[in-house]
Amino acid sequence: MTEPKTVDLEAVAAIDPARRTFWGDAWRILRRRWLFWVSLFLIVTFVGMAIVPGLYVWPSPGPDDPSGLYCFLADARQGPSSEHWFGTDVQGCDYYAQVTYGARVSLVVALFATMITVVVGIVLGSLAGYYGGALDSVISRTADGFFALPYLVGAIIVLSALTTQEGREIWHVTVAIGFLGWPSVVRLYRSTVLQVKGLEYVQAAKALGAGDGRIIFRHILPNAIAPTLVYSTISMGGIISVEATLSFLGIGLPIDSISWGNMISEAGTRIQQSPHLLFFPSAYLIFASLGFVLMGEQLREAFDPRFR
Amino acid sequence: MTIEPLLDVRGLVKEFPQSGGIIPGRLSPIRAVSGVDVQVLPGQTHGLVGESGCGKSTVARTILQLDKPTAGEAIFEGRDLFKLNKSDLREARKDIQIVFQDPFSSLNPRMTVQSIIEEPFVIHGGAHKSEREAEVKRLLKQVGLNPEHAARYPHQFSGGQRQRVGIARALALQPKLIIADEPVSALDVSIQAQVVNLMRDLQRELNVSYLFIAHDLAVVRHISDVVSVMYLGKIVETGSRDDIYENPTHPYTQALLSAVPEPDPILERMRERRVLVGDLPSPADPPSGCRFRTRCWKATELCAEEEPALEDPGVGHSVACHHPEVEVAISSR
Repeated sequence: MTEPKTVDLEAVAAIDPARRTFWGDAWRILRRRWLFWVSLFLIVTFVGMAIVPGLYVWPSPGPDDPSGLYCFLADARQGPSSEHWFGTDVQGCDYYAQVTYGARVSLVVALFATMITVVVGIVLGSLAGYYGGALDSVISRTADGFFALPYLVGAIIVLSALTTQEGREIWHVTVAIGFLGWPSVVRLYRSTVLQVKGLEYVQAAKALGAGDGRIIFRHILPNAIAPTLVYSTISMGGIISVEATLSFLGIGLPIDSISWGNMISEAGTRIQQSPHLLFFPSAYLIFASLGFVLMGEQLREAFDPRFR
Repeated sequence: MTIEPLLDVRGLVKEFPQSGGIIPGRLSPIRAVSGVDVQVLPGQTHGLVGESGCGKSTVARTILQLDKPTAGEAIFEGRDLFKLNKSDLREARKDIQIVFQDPFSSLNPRMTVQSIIEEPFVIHGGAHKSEREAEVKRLLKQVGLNPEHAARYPHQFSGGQRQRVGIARALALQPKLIIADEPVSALDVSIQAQVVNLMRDLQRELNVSYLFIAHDLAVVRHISDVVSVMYLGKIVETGSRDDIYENPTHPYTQALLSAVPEPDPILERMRERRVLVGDLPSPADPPSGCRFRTRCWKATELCAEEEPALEDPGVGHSVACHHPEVEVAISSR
């Protein structure tokens, strides 16, 4: 954390000061870090996989097999081979293609659930931390209530409330995870708001006559958001496994949707016969979340001027 | 002295409720400031001195209403600041600015110096981007910084330079009054002199008034026209700078002044020192009568029974003491 300091200061000083911007500075620091490039590579790989899985899987879909997943029941549960890099699953489908196509659902759920928790968490955390008093009590005690509720029980309640006769959809799971995740962000963000709002530059803004909105968004948010961003990138990985747990219990994603969570939960029952079924989606999950965690860490340091 | 004061604070009281305890409301509130009067004349500097914890900073924060006052009034240009509604207060804030103690936490680390100094213009409207940029350049020049450095972040400056940025921000709206809350106590001694001199030069140039809060007597002497000495939430002695420094009458002021070291070694050896014993009592439970009596070498029963009023005992300035000592000044520069 401290080691790049000297290098970065020189890099920053070498630039014409008149042309320097906040984002420009961050970029100048980031591009010198190999961990940034590693995490960027991981994220681009997995996001690309989620958007255009066809790029990663050849042979392309044929007319009799529109998914392109090449399932032949006779080949069920083979280990990795040159033909099937990741082996095949119980349906005889090529597991490499399965895992690749699973990226989309897993990442979409993780991304949107995280966005819900962060937005709700920051709004409520700002209100609780900045205004304090009765509003703080209401928000904090509600969050405590959510903490007292066992996660799975909460998920079952929310999901059964959301599920309609047409069955569960991906956004039901996303909303349920986001709905249960905001209390920890509120706690985290509220505590950093409390810390920042007492600082003299916030007092100075108040003395200048700045409105609450300006103080909350211009002065407090940029200085208080870093821990929340890091937390949320880390929680992306966690959410992918929560999705797996819910799927394992049969209250998660619809069974026909291909996701890492569904694959992991299914593979768990056959771990002794076919460990590769567990290994490959787990490895993808781990590398995908590693990419987000590393990126969060790098961004935090790049955006924090004290590291510059 | 018949000039109308720019700021006239009367009977300022600030209490902080104490939380905790089993029965709510049982703990008596802490009275950080209990009945302070301060006048600042146009174009002049009123120095407020006292040791840590005596309520100096609370006076500053309350006048600016960063903390809500418990009682009292602050007449600024004929209007009581404490009775203004929200939009009038916002207008009034243009005329009263603050410079903080810690130059490391008083500037937002995420903002460039340009956006820090132009923020007052943004908040109070007006001025196009190009005008604001020119104005920021002018202000930077005025406080002795390189205008080319406007795009830099606070962490790229030294403590003294940051304090100059803080002063530039305070000057931006051309305020009539700047409240400086220990503006130099976080700086190196050599830098202190530069910043104090800068503030004095700016005062001459812009005719701005200061309420200058500090615990360093030498600094206050250098810049103030009028000096008030605070002890445990009350003013114990107030008068012109020369009155206070040449003719200190309250035992506390004498003790403070006798603690200032003398640069000349011969004078230093001859210097008479009054060493105060004990600590500042808790403002939650102040001593009865005179608040200074627990540490005063002249305290009598009268001091425990009756609180001395702040009045002139015949020395030309006001002192709150039952046993004022009219004696030749203890030298201090």
